[in-house]
Amino acid sequence: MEVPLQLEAGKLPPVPRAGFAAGGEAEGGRAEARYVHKIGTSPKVLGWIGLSVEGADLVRRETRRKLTQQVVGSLNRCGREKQAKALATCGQWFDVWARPSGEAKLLPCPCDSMFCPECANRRSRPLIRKLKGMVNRPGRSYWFLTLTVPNTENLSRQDISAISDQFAELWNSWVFQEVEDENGKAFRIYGGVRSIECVYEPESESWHPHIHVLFEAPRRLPWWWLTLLKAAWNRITGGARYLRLQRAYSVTKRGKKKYNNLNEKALRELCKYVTKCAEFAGDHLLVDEFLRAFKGVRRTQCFGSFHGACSREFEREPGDDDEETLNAQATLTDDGYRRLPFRAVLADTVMQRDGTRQLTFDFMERVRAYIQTADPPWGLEVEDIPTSEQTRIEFAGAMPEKSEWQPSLFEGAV
Amino acid sequence: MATAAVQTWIGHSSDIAVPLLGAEFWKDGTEISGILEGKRDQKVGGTAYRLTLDTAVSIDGEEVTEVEMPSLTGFKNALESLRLQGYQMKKGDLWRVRCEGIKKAKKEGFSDSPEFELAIVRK
Repeated sequence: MEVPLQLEAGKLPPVPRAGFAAGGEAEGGRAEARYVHKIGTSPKVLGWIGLSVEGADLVRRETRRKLTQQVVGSLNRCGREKQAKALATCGQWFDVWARPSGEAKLLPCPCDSMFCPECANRRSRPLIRKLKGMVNRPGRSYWFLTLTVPNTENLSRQDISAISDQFAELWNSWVFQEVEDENGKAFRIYGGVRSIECVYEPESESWHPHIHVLFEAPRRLPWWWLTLLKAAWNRITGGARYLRLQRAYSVTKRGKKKYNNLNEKALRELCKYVTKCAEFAGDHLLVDEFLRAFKGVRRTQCFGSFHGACSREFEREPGDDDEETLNAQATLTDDGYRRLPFRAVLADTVMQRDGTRQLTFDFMERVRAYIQTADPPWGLEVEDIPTSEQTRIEFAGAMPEKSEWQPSLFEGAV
Repeated sequence: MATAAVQTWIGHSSDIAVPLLGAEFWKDGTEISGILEGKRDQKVGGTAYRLTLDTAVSIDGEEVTEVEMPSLTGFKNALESLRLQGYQMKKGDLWRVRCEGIKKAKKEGFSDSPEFELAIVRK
């Protein structure tokens, strides 16, 4: 005889689960069992995942944000409210470009401040792109040189002009232009790009202007060339003794250094425009001093074989539209878009899944209303022209230079 | 009249002195998981997080289940990423720490830094 699977005692009433009333507790036992929610008894499992890369990026952004806030405060205190506002709201305003048909596009309005890391990246991008096509030539090597001058207590425009002129003199000197190696064979430095930078040293309460140079040299640069360079720089500056020369390299995915093969990342590191202001961002007098000294200064300049890589950048004053913006504007104009006389703020836009921004419904209504009221219609739309097959008429003989019917065309004209 | 209750505590050095999973322990793909028991501030090196591991790991030839996770840069960054997701650590959380790779030091004289993925489950 088979053993019954169920207990002979029959079915037992189910045991009430935690969090549920068994019934009979209220209304004299007439009430049905009711669900009672208790905090902490939920079987919900919580999960989080955190990555070092994400965290490092967040920390970097937070540091940047704090630093920018400090600079904004300092700019306000030294009476540069307009610059402070532009820096504080960088990336939050957009130019609105629209077509008569009602389509709209947004172009960001950058602050172009020397202290803005986002704008620094954006401005250096065209230069990096051009340099990328100039480096890694066969038979050449690339070097990173840092030239320093003695610290100065007060920074002025003259200090910056002086270091710039001193470098120009060094470039024109025989050390760069014509040197003979051990075999009597002449070699020269082909060209490069230089960037003037200045940091503040709080320990000595002084400014430290210096120049970074990325230059292109023959494949084999003799070790004693550095001695010549030191002597020349010392002579030109009248006492500067410290300079550093190292071979430029890019880092592979495995972390190995690769010489004579500069990638975009390496170039970005060398050509970034970022102002290192962490040491003086909180002091409005120092911020003002720095801005006065660097007003209208071409911080980056190309020379020799790199000449022309950043010529466009020279013509541009801070605040003007850069090359990328001008290109975007030209494309939009060609496509029939016109800039509207008002701007959109970040709150007027919504981030899309693909990372682009789109205008909100309310703002779009405002754009459409403007287009409708704008008089006369400010744009022409491209329409398809109906075409038909045409028969080619063959001419036998030469075409008369002037048609005999031509004068009659103008008879009616006064 | 209140009853005088007697309370006692005993502390051992071994309660605190557990092996530390320093940077040299971590290789690409190394993974540990265990329950968070607590944290303490070290004299040098920041906060260390104590874990009871599900599976013992071998440190200096010894199999251990009680370890401490030091505040390595990569680990601190992973925790920072979690903090912004709203995570606040709690005793009893199940931690799974996986090394995602070793980031080479940019400057000479600095040590390489392991990068982590820190997954947490709370029941």
